[in-house]
Amino acid sequence: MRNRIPVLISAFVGIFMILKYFSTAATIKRVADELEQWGVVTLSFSIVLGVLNLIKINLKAVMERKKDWGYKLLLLVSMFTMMIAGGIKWYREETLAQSGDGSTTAIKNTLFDFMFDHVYFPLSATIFALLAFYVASAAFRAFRAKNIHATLLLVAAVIVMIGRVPVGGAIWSGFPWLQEWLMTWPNTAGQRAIQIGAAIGMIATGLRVIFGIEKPYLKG
Amino acid sequence: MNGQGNQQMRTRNARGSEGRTCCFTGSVGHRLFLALVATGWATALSAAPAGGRVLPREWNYIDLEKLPVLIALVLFASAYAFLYYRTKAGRPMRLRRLPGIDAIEEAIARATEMGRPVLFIPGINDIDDIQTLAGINILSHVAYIAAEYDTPLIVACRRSVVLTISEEVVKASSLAAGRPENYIPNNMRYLSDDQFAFTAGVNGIMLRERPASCIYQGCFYSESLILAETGYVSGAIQVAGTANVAQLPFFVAACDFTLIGEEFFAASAYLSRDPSVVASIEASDWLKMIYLIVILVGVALATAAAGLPHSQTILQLVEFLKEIM
Repeated sequence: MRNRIPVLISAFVGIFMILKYFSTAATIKRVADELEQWGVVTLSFSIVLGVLNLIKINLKAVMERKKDWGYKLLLLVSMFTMMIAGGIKWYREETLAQSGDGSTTAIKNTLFDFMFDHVYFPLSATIFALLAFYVASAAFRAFRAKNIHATLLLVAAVIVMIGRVPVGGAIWSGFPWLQEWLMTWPNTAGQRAIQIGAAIGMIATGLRVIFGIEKPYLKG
Repeated sequence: MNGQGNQQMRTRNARGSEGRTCCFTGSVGHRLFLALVATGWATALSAAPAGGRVLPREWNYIDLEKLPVLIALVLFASAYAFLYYRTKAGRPMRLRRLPGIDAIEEAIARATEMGRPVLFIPGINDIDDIQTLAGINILSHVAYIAAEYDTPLIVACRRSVVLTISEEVVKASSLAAGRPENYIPNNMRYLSDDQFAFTAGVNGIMLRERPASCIYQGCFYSESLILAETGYVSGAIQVAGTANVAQLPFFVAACDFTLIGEEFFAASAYLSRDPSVVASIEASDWLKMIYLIVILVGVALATAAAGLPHSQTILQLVEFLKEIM
């Protein structure tokens, strides 16, 4: 019974989602939309689990003075600071809305905004910017003429890289056309083939999960 | 059916013929069915160039715009049912060897030899993504093998629900392997909901704890290359699997083994060898064959239509195919 109830719930909700996709009946859409809302609400509560996990692991490391405990302390301090700052901002906006005409007005230049714009955003952009250098290092490692497939990859990559910059057209007028052809025809064909295979795999996996043939959420 | 038709042909000829028999089927019912199908096609083809739709938009509360998907679903379900019962009847299963899946066990063995942990990331999307579910399927096998080898397993999650399910999966797999002590709660880590904060956290785990093997199985976006390159710098063997076409080139370039698209979804069948799951892989292959035939027919018709612009029949067929597909 302990294993059957989750499988039945999964099958019931899954079948309704499938019916919603194919059906134009208003009743089915209403029920499916309601089930989706339940899912959203349940997932929203789960953020508490993540925060508790973070606190549990990092606080234990700080108290036991494990290696790099300073960074873990910094993580906890940052997390609570942003939570408190965000809570204060929300409280001030709610108070303003209740004392005013009832409309929600965003308060600017708060501590939360400062930390978001001047701490979080630059840090996030920094990690994203690493991609540029990692692309170069990955390309340097991967584009080697070790065998026929690697040689094809190398030749195609060189043509596309040169064809996409103005100097490529200056070297040879055919480079821009060739890279355009490569990206439009063989590349698109390959991508579509992979997408078709992946989509069929998704259908198979989805049906296996919905009908309880595979129960990844219920191992044991 | 063909045998019965032949028998009826012989009987009628022996009697001196009571009328012409169909060349490929003998029963009246089958001839009527074929006549109806032919009439339906003729109606469809004659209606297509009129500018109106061949099919209505809706029929009995079924959205006919999505009819091709419904047909594919029905075809797949039918093929699966047939293959499942055939497998249960004792037909041997055959799966092509996938180096990426074999590499998962080798990666765990490598980690055991080096005395370092295995790092597993089940993608960055939530549990409602089918790729995350497929990744968790693979996690259960990885956790089982890691428990058998007594190798620590670190799982890093971006979503809380995925963390909770991963904890249960690893706990159950360790218990099933007879090594419940291999499940270490502190190794199941939720890092952040933010994409790049999560990436930075995983990079930190890789550079500090130096896992010998990194396994990325699930949905990834632009952080894929950051993870793979940092894993390379830390000296880990890396096995990746995703259905995101845009991220596959990065994984192929930076990882040692990559499961591409459908291979990623077939991995759980390959690892478990469960007949019901293997039957679904074979049914997927059958559906792919049908798609291949439809694509080839469409390409041939479109090419013929381009070469013979005055042929109304071919033009009508092309328009009809475009509308139903």
